[in-house]
Order: sequence, then structure tokens, then C-alpha cells
Amino acid sequence: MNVLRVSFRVPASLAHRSLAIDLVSTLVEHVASADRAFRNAITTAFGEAFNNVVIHGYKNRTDGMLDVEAELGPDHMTLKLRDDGLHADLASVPTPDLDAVPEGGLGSFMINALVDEVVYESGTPNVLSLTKRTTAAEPSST
Amino acid sequence: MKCTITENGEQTRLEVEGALDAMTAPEIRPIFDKVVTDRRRHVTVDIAKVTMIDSSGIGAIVSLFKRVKADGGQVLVVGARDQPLAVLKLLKLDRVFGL
Repeated sequence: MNVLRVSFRVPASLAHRSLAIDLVSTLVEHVASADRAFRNAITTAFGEAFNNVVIHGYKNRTDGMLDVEAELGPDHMTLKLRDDGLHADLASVPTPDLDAVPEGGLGSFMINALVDEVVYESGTPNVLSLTKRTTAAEPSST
Repeated sequence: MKCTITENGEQTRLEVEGALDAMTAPEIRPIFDKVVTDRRRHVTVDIAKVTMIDSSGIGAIVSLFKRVKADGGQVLVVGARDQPLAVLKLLKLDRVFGL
């Protein structure tokens, strides 16, 4: 199985959010069996993770950087986000009650709902790993 | 992000273009706030030209929806497609917003 690894580094600021998402969207083109739903899911999850790093991880800082490593396989994509900001306690984020139509607290829920695997390791750096598999990957994984 | 407001009698239409996300949501919230303070009760948010939405953009629309509804009005969201529609469905907002 051919796997390609690509890395990029962007300033962790909301002004660079669209650039980072555009880069991830471009990389999706190299996941052979990815469709539009796959692209929407991984870019949306990445965008929420990016927000978390900027708004919470680098709270009150303007010098933060985000390193992104993408692993591109024919039927999956893994994004590893590395930052040197505050540690996140993802497990403490409550699951939103969608029936109550909440205004906030949706980001972590969206990340978990949109990708197949989420792994967070706090440290220096913090590493958040998001893996999304295409529907083509499902039969062979069972 | 661009937001065009059209008022026709009791009807208010907000046409949003571009990305509605953590970067741009703070720009649109004052526009939504004015809709609420002006007590507009028949509000349509057209997001057909929204290219991407995130939880911050959703939060801005939900905030508008709740405040207008609390004042006896209604907010309809129309035109959602592609990524914005997928997010609205994920959050079970498609039926709330009348999509």
C-alpha cells in the first residue's frame, strides 16, 4: 500500500484558518477513494481542531505555530496536529444535547462524529491525530 | 464573508456569502444583533453561497434563531448544500431550521 506523508507549518491564527483548510482539502485529492463527503468530513474536523488550538491552546498568545503531518493512503487520511499550547482535556468536554439546540460546545463533538479515530496526547508538543477512512476501506477492515 | 440584508415589509432576508467560521462569525454577530433589536420576526437566512461553516458560524445562526423565536418570531435557513448542509444534518439542525 502506497502511503505518502506531507507536512506543513502555519501560524496558529484564525487569519490562517482558511489557508490551512485549503491545504488539507488539496491533500484529500491524493486519497484515491475519497469522495466529496470524505472531503467535507475531514476538512470540517480539521477546521474545528484548528479552532481549538488557536482559541484554547494558544489562548492569549499570538506567536503559536501549528505543525500538520498528513498521511495519505489510498483509502484513508491521517492528520497529526502538533502544537505547543495549553493542554486540552478533550475527555472533559461534555457531549452536547443536540435536541436542546445548543449554541456552543459543538467543536469536539463534531470532530469525534466526523472522523473514525481521534487520539490526543498532551505533552510538548501536544499531538492530536485524526484518521478518516473512506467507504472503500470498510469491507477490507472487517 | 459578506452579508446582504433585504427588508420587505415584515420580512427580513439575510444572504450570507463565503466562509462562516471562527474568523468571520464575530463580523456577522452584530448584524444578527440588529435584526433582534429591531424586532424583526420573519427572518430568512440564505446560506446558498456559504462555502464552509464551522461550529462558530453555527453558533451565530442558532443564537439568532433562539432570540427571534423567544420574541415570537421565526428564522428559516434556506439554500444549504454541500459542507454546510452536511454540518447542519450532523447537528440535527436541518429540521430545526426548516430545511
